[in-house]
Amino acid sequence: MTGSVRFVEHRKKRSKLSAFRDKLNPKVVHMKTVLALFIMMLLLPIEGYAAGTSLDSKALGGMEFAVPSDREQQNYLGTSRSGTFKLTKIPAQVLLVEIFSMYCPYCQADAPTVNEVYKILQQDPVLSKKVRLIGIGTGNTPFEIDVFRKKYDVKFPLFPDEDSALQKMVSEPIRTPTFIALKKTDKHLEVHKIHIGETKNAASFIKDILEGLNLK
Amino acid sequence: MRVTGKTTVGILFIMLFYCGHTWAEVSGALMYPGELKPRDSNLTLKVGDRAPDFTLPSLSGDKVSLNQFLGKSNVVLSFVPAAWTPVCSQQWPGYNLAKDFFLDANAVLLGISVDNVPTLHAWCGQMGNLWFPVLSDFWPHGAVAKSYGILRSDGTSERALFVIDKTGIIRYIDVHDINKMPRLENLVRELSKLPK
Repeated sequence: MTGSVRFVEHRKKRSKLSAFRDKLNPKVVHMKTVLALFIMMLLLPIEGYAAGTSLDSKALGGMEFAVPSDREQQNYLGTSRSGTFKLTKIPAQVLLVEIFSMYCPYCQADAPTVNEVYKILQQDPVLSKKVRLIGIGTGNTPFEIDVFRKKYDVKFPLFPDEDSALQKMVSEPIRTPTFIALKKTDKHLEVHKIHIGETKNAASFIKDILEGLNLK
Repeated sequence: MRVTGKTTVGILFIMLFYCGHTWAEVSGALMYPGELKPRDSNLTLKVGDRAPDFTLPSLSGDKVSLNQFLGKSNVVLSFVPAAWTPVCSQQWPGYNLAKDFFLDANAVLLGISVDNVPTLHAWCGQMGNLWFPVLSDFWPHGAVAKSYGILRSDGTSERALFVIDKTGIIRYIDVHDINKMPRLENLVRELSKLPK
């Protein structure tokens, strides 16, 4: 019995001594530290990717588009009846921009849900006044945009970005669809949130992308 | 649990390679190879020529020949350079939306790539349902692309469109800049010129 107690005490002492030695020895690193480093390194490329997809809101706000020919859409965006307009001129607290392509199969599949997003926004008494939704077809011509609009019966304004001006604003390829919530501050637009990929569920998408804006 | 310094350095090196190099750089370079030489072949055909016949395996398992459409339908051949590349992965899904333009012109669309059937099967599955046949010009490698004068020096084909009328005569050729999407309206315009 006594021998056993002595053995346990001896093990404890050895263990403490070993831990003390480890502290002094820079060559010994605990597995927890290695795991923490691993997680940090895993996050690095993700952070880089997110940064790559963040757009310059000033440049985006400065983009000019032709005023839509449809009178309802002109009223929706608060534009004049002809000419061009800038996104910063749209009288809304929040501008929700979908970057899509007529050619993108994910955008095609997601089109009915994005239509649902528009419908929910329009039916909500508060959001219908404060939020505007538009689509920008990256690399698409007016003809291609029109094919997409007719195919999916899109009611909100869609604009062509034939020369891929949006793509030229960022170093990484823009994935489609990408949704950007832009908050209007004074005369500028500020990126509030970026959602990469399909909306999947209209109500959850709206809740998520407008979260933190205190619109209601 | 503890590991020695040498082991740690080894583990960190593997992790660094996996995270920083394999994931970000390699996959990025594969998916977005950057600007390629716009055109890398010598077109031997011209509008008014008879389109060379071919027979190729399709994804459905059938063999498809160009001549089977003689006297029945106009044909559009859409050659794309390679599976899983950025522009190609959108061009054909775009033609899903344009299906009515083809039907209105009594035109059959045939998608052709130099990839083998299993690769095309996986790729087309990822793109969703395509309404037109996809043909493999894998073996003899790129033989059909070569007969149309659009096989590039690296074994891929050009991004090219050939519009062929019901009599087998080529009515329109667009060997496009490989980096860019052929504009849909140009193809629709040519389709509208075809006798039905």
